[in-house]
Amino acid sequence: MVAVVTALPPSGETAGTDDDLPVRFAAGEPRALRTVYDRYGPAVMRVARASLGNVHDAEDVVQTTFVSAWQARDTFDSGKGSLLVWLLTIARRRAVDLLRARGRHEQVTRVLHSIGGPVHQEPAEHRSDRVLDRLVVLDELATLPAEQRRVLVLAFYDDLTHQQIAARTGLPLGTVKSHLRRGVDRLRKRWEVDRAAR
Amino acid sequence: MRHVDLERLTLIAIGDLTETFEDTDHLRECAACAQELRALRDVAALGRETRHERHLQSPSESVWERIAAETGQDGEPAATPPPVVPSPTRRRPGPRLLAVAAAAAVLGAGGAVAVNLAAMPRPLPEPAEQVIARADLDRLPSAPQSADGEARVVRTGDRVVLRLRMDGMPAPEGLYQIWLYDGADTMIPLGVLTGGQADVAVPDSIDLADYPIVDVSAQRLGQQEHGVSMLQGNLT
Repeated sequence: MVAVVTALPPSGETAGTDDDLPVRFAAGEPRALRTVYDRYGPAVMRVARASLGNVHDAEDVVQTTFVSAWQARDTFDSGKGSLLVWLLTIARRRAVDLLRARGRHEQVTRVLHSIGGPVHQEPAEHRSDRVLDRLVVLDELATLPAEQRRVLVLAFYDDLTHQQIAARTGLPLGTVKSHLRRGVDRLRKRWEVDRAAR
Repeated sequence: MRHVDLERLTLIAIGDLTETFEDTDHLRECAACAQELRALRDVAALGRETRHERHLQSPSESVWERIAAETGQDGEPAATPPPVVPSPTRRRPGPRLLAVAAAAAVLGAGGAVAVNLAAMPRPLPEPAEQVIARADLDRLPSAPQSADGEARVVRTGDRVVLRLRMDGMPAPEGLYQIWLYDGADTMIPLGVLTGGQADVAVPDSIDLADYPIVDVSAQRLGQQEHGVSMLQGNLT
């Protein structure tokens, strides 16, 4: 059975920020690996699947990603980017390695081309780049204060205007606009830092 | 020179406000504001796309066991994943969908699954649902820029259903139809979208491995053959 996890905490809840997890991971604290795996395993799986055709290969990439991340944990530098983007970058590299090792790169590109459509005509690496960007932004979205996150979700997922969001939530217009500006700004800063880290 | 206010620039970037002539004139002259707007638009586009990544598939438990073995950890599964961000609570699909539904109802999210479940009059014992495959649907050139969608293939008991949601499309002149496509020469019509949503049964005789592409087309009323493709995505 496929277990599915939901990335955003329920509305009204503020996500816990387990700020010292990357530090505990880098320091080699035994339980930190499992915690990081629980937290980011699904995202690593997603990036692997964006490049690879089947679950079995993707799970192999998840395995090698976490094993090599653990072995290289003292090279992780939280000043350069998040633990998430560090893991996803490793995963993307491992996926490319696996494709090359099997000489399937051309085949994969051809399969993607045959589907048509703007996204699918890009090589698998570009597609996984976009997925990687989304996962970083989603991770940041999940850490926003609950009210700010709710406003952004209504704008992004429900296409509501700031007036509609104010009517829906009962928040003053100025507060909605301020949440939008600050929220988008937080997403942008995180994305820019993590983009530079790749 | 008066720069465009940052709140206003953000609203323009997310498509909430349109530029006035005054904004446009300023953005033409001011490289800083123009660059700011581009960056905000880029991040807003990613923000919108995160909806496709909200529900992620976990690797199977055996993956952790192999990682634990290779790294010399005890292989014991964590009893409860600690409350971290984004909180990866492992739940069975039934309760999870209900939880999402509750959250979505509060948020007013437009997800087909969530709203339908939330609208149910009583707390039905959910049949265990298993997501077998999913696809992000990408717009094709005939569709408007805003077009977007996702599909899931869900097994409920012995029934397999393709659940599709489509956003950002105008009301059809005829209708929008869902197809499975083998990528070569065969397309199988599954059903019609109404209000941007559909749950259509997938017959047992169809092996999704042979028809991995989900296609949404615009059809003239009464048109039998496949019309104009609007969205497509690959089931994985």
